[in-house]
Amino acid sequence: MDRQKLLTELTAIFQEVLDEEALDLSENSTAQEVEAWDSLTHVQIVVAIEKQYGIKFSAREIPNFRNLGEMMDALIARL
Amino acid sequence: MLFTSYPFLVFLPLVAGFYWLMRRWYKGQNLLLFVASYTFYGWWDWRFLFLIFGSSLLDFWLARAMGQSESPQKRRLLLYLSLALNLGVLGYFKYANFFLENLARLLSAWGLPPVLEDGPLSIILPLGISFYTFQTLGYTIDVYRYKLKPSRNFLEYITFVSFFPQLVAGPIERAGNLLPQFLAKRSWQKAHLTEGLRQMLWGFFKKLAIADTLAPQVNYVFAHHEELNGLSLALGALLFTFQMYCDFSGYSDIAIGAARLFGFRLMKNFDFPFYSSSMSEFWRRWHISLSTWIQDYLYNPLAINRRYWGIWGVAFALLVAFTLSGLWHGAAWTFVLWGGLHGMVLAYEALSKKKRKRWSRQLGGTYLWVSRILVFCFWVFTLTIFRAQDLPEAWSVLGGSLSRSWWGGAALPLSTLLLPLALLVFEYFQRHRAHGLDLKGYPYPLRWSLYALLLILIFESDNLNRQTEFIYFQF
Repeated sequence: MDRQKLLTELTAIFQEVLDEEALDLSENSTAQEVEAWDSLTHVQIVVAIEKQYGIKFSAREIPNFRNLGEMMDALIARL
Repeated sequence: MLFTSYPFLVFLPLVAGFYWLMRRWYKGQNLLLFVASYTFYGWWDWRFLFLIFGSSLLDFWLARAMGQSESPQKRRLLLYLSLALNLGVLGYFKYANFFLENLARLLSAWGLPPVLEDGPLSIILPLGISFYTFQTLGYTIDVYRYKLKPSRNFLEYITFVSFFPQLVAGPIERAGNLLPQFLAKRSWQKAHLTEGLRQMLWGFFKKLAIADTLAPQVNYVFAHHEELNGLSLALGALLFTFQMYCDFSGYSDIAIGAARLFGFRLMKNFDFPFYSSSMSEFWRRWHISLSTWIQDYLYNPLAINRRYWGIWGVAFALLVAFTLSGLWHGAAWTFVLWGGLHGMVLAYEALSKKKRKRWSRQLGGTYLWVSRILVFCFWVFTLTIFRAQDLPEAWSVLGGSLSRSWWGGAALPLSTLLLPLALLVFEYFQRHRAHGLDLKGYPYPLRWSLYALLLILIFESDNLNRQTEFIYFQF
């Protein structure tokens, strides 16, 4: 899958869940850099991604994504 | 040995002096820290040493066995064993009487014979047990989750568990942060000394000049809650808020500063919580080592497990995690209620996030300050429940401060508020710095005048070596 296209789609999910229309993300974006991305919204983001792509992340990997790129890797592996 | 006692003021420089004399031999330094830590802890009661040694040995061994196994079933079994033994010991020392008392009450309500005919069991709560149990549990869970390799060096591990600056009341350290520091060589730097001493001075000031000065006033209000007027009760609750903050954050500053003298960096435990504009922000700034522990090992697994409940899953996980965090503080319904109330407010905040953001955009600065004041008031309200001996006392203080007269003056001098309010203003301007007394960039005469002023206030308070324990020692 085209990573750039995926990044754009995921950015839209983040914008929707975090209610930040102007949010600009890269594969290196981390929760520390994005103010509204905290432990509460992390779970909501994960659920939104799972719903959109019809996949399921494992409970072990969800808290361990270090950046958006790692999330994309896990997603691509399931598509 | 208390941080604020004379023996500690001799002990600390002595240990630090020998420690830096051995700077070419870091294993010797670790051995010294181990002996010093066990001396520090055994100063209270040498019998506690057996328990902490047993707890360290157990988790060291279980994590090693976990590391040597690739079988998920065996690893899980070892994890459950660690959880059962650690929580079992904690449960026995901390919750046995609470459980039996409530069971007895329930049985007598049903007309059945009581279980505690001879009164409560005589159990002494080993100091710091909640803190070091969580520290060792965190280590085992991290090894189970493949986040950490099991330690291969028992001396370093046992010193990590008992490291005296943070043993009794935290910060609850993560093995991933602290253990590697024991395995690395340490180099002497003057900055460690100055940074450490400065943070310790700030901690001593908050504990001795503020918390211990307020303690008798607060004790008076809570002991006489039935006869005092509304103003006195409200003032008592407000003063306890400052006492608690200065006591606990003061302890953390002394702990972090003392560890710095040995070249160690402990995690931040307080980050100016009183200027938070939401309770979620408050919990990112108050007792950070516990709230992140709860988040990583309790909230996250629960929220992930219940993620298909949508936002209600988040609310459920918050409520459970915070109620249990309340119970961590002690075996009483006041703590359960305190934790539950925080869980509920955080759940509300999670559910209303978008709406609150909209209000914030529309109202700007007014919204920020109103939120800060509301957060502070909610904290005073819940902390009164936390401080009360039981629920009827909590209702009496809270209800009385609202329903009883505010006329006729307060039973306490209003001047007791002066120093806490000065602290609140001073820390507001310092709130983006590492700690309250981080004065980098300030002119030399100003810095030294401030140090002198703090020392005068500390000695003036006459609270040094009075054996007043820190509030969090009871947890």
